[in-house]
Amino acid sequence: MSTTTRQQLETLRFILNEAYTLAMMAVIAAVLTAAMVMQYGFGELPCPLCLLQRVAMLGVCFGLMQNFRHGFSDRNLGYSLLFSVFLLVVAVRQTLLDIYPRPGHKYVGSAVLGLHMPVWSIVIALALISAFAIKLCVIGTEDGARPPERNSPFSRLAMVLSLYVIAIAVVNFGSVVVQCGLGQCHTEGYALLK
Amino acid sequence: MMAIIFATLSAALLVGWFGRRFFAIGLVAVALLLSIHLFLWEIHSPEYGFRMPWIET
Repeated sequence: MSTTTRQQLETLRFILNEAYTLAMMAVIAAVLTAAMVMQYGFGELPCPLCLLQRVAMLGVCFGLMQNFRHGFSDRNLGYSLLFSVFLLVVAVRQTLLDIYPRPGHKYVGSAVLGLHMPVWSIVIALALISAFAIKLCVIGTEDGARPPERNSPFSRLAMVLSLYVIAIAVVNFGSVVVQCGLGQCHTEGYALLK
Repeated sequence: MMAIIFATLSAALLVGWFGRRFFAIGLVAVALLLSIHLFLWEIHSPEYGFRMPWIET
């Protein structure tokens, strides 16, 4: 294989890597947006474990965002994977908590396609872990790949998406303060609005 | 506690994008540790501990 062909393949691999990372971040941002629509639009307040699942998804985004800000690195993949595993553990425990009908325990919120939020969280966590595994199999290591050029479409899209994720985190912070105050979180109503 | 976790994580995301990477990683590590602590506290029952007797057969 000639040097030019090798360089072209390497460039293609980096572009694929950037597109894949952006797509993952967009999907998580969409999931978090849907959760916020359910909360503010339909009045379904998140339970404490649901809020921890949002924390986990934002943590996954942290690792993805670092790639575009400071260059691609396997360490960033590690941060995202850590939070993906945390999401899986929290979601499985919450699903098991309400899996058997008993007084005072039922799945919070309404079902989407027959599945409640904690079960969806398991699906999302498994999808994320699988997506990282597929990325490593197909694209390979990201170590050494530079962030996209400042004026490239990928860079602009990454900046918009990253700022959107940061905005989601800040809005959720404000929402948590209103819902929980500095104490324990409940789903009966917003603690500071009572 | 939840408010502190979200504050730390929001700060990590902001610092990670606008500031020093080293501080951002520190903040995100604190957020993860606090989240794990809160998770264990939430699922611990004085009666059952961490067991889930309702799914035991």
